[in-house]
Amino acid sequence: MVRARNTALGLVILVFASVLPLAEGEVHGSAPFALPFAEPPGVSTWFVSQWYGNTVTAYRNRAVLYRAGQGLHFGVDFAARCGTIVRAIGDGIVVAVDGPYGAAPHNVVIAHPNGYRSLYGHLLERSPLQVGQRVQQGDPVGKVGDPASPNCDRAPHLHLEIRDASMRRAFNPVSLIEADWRRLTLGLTLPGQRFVLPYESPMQWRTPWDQPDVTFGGILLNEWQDTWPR
Amino acid sequence: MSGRTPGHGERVLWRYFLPILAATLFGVLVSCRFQGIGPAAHPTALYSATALPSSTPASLDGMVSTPTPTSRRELLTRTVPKEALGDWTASPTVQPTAEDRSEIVAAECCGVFAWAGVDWLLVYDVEPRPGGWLVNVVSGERRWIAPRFGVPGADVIAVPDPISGRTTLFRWDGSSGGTIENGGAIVYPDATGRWIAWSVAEEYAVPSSAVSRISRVMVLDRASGETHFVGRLRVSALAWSGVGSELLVVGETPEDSQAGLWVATPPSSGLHLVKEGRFFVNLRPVPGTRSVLVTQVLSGEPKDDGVWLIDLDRGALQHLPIETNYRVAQKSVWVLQWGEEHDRLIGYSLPDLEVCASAELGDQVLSDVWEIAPDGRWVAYWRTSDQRVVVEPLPGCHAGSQG
Repeated sequence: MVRARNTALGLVILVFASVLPLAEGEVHGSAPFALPFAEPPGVSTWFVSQWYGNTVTAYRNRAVLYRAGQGLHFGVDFAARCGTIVRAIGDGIVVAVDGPYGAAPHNVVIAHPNGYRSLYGHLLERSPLQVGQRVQQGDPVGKVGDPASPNCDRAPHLHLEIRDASMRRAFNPVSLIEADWRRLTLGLTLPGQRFVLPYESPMQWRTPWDQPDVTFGGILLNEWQDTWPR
Repeated sequence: MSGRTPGHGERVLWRYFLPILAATLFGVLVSCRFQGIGPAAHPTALYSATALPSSTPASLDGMVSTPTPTSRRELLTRTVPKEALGDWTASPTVQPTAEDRSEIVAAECCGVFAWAGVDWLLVYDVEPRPGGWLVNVVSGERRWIAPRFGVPGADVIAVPDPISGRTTLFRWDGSSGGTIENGGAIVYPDATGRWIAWSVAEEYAVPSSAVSRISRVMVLDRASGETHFVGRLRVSALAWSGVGSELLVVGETPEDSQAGLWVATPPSSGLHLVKEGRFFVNLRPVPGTRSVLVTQVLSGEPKDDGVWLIDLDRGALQHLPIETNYRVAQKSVWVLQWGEEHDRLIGYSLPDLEVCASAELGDQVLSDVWEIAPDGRWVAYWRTSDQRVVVEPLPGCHAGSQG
């Protein structure tokens, strides 16, 4: 009797779980988040300088900078002038300010009702937000900074990540942020806007939309000896 | 569990739940397909092999009147016409027309290619054999060069091999024309065929992936066999001018005191700044000339941001009022406009920059991967719908017309 009840309960859960993707699919029809800037992209404002995933620059820095993220670039980089206002990509609650999540010198993490968390890295200064504070989509989170120079003249950009609630997994923001992504590179052909071709698997992870989730602390996913380019 | 009859729960599972689950999964799949979720919105590449000959056979003298639609061209073994080497203006082929929307499939996959000469595209493909292929976009001739991709020059294709630590120069017939012991770095042959440049990184770790490594810039003189040290910079881009002999480097000094576009004329000169500033991208020499296009971004002075045409002869700078998604041909610059179903190319004549042509592509360009042939007669691009590399003819660029 107990076993039958447990089986029925399992049935209900499984049916519910199997139907869930439908609902999630509807959410994906219009991605749940928005871009982190109010201004339109442009040569004097901001643009996507490095995609999430198997980028050329991630491959070149897989053993050091991106080692914790399985060698891949586990966020999207938005090149922007230092001081550009960064905005929340969705409603949520601030769960970390300058937490232990890298992306120095300053970062902010926001927990969203749909279970995702967004991380805003390389901020210019400590965010005025407080842990526990509620924010709405579009609210200021901080200012763009430069991880390579206090003068903001070498690599000013926002590093934006979307992770799960445990902060152990990162997802491709391109599939979770509503945007016309093709236009956001400005067609500048930067190395970060290109994906490495591994000769042993030349069709793997080659576009902004086809990139794997990252598990922090996992094995390198791009430890290839032979690629184009190197 | 083994040896006992199924209980009530198991019977319920088999009779009711599995059919429900199967139907649900079917519904999810159908739903995903029609809602454009995940891969359905961006189809994966095709692995299927297609029949080889499907086009008008190339005539024996190598002349074909117009390109014809084909999924795969016949493999031939002709030699490269002498006129095809090192002269973008001389062409043995007929000018394609804008009305002829026929396309040539140059590769089944991968989106890695570069123009190598008049009507010749170097492309990486996996079938029928993985490697770098030279494809004649008029005749359809395909030549396998090496198991890896490389950089085409006037008379060789330079293929780096990180495993052996050397770069091999392949002639267009696939034979070896020598090797360079440089760690297997990517090298850049110039238009004269004499000079080859590369950079050797001196440091491993950088504070940000947006910061280039400090590198030694080297140049090989193929005439003498001597290698020259040109300079030491954080190199973010390396290219030769359109006529060759002048090396262009985007980078900053190791101590970060000076940054911009640098030029060297080996073997006599070191690097000197042509345009100072940070964040120069999309460096594109104009084929057959001593001019170059480059874009400055996020300079802090909006009037300085945008596309610049730099004349290396006169040192003149011209700010071009065009979008940044450009490629350069000998007498024209082309800008890609992203469309909902089809992208469009707008041609501007050089140097007067009048709109001279317009062409709607057969599809959207995937990941900004597209290149204009140096003579401006073709566009090769990575096609979004099936991730093949295709080539389409472009209308002639005539100032005052818009195709």
